[in-house]
Amino acid sequence: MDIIELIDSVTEKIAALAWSLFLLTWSIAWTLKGAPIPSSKVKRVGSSLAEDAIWAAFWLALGSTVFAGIVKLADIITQALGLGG
Amino acid sequence: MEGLEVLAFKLAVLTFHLGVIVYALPIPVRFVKKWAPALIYDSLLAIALISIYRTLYAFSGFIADLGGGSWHLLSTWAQTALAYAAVLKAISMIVDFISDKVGLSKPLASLLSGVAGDLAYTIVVLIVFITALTQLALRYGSSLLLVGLILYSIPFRITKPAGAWIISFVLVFNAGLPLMPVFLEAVGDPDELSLKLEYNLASINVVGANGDPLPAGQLWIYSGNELIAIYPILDGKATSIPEMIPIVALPLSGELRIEVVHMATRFKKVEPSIINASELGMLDSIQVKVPAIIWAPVDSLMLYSTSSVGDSEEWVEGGWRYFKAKIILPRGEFSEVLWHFKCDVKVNYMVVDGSVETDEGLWKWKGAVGRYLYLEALEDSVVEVTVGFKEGSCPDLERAVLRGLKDYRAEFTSLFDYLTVDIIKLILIYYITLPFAYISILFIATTSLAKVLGGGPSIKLRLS
Repeated sequence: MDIIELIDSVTEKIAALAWSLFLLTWSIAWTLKGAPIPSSKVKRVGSSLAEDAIWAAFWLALGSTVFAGIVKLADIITQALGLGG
Repeated sequence: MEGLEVLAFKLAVLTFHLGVIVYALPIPVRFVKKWAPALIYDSLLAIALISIYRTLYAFSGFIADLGGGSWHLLSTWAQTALAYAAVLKAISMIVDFISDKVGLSKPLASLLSGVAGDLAYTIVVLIVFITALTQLALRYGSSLLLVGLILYSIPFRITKPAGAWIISFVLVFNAGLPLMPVFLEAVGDPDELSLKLEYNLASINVVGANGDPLPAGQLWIYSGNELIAIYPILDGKATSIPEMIPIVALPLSGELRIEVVHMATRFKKVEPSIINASELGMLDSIQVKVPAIIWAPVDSLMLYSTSSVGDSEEWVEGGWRYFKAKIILPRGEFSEVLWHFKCDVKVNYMVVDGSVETDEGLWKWKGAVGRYLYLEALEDSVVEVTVGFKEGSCPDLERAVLRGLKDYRAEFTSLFDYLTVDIIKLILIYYITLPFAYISILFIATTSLAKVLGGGPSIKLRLS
């Protein structure tokens, strides 16, 4: 299936890009947070970027685990209802 | 997982990663960032749906079972509805056809035929619609679900509402359509409907040897050796009593043999000799020819012969109508002239060749009395017969031919009894209004479920 391979490669590239972007965002965030600029606005942007970056890393790390968990849960529901799948 | 399922799953994973990448973007803009949790939520929901869609599909079928519905029940209902539509269509055609003849007022006739025809049309359209929905939900249900899932999984909610709607549609209609007959039986009262034609309707024209319509007589119809119907022939047409319409009921199947009886004479040889009832369509027209009847200008005068006729001529003279024919009578064959005793008739015959035995006397038939002249060939002969009658002197035989009838529908309801307001009301409720309302409810349910699944564009999601 060509389209599936295409989607797979795109997904892979996006995952790799996401990791690098996470590192970039993370550095930018801490740069802003640690910058000697006495502006609370700049610091807040830094904090929010850091928070989002951590969420990104969290979902990237847990992604496949979450998918597996959902599939497993669906299986359990199917079995419990006794309707077969 | 199958191909399309894998595709849907991969699309969901792609959506997930897009969500993650939006999270990771170093752009502190709310407009961009709010896509991140939305995409991740969508993908997780899509994966959950992909994992359990078979279960959901089975479960919706289970709900239908639980309510006592089945696809078989629905198809039975649809077939019955189509049968009603066919009957209504037939009634509409008949009313159109006979309104002049039975003196129905024009507005009433057009109303009856219009209502019946429109009802039939509406029922057919509705059934086609329901059949299409059935095909979608039952036969293509799984494929449609997969298509819905793929649309559902495409990133950035481009086709998510469409996907959610398709998934909801399959689930709702898979559960709801088989339950429709149950719903109708619970709400309507179909037992009062007993509209079923258990016979075919046909128009039968009876003609003599030269193709002129036979003015009077009776048509006896046999199925096997059983006499199943006797219809009067009025102006050449077999007629239904009491409607007095030139359309009669015939069985739906079997081989029919026809005999024509007129003035105490039974004609067993008619063309066609056998009619195959199952080949007849609704309101088909059949021509029955009685080759023996040479001349029958009025109800109560007839000349027939068991053999062939040579030259013949007909003329009018001084208020009298004459007919002269040269009849070729091989040995043992015979010819006869019959007339009502009130008829002012002149009959002459001349033996051109051979020799014939003659007989004169009285006949009685169903309360009518008349005279006959009978000629039988003792050897191969040729006889010239001249028959004349004073126009207007011969009585009609309607009272006689209306005696001792047997309608094939005797055990069934008369056609016009169908067209009561109650029946039309019931058909309207049971086969049009309620099904339509029910299907509408299913569509509303589909839209609602689609909103629950995330089809609605205005759902706000926050995961973080």
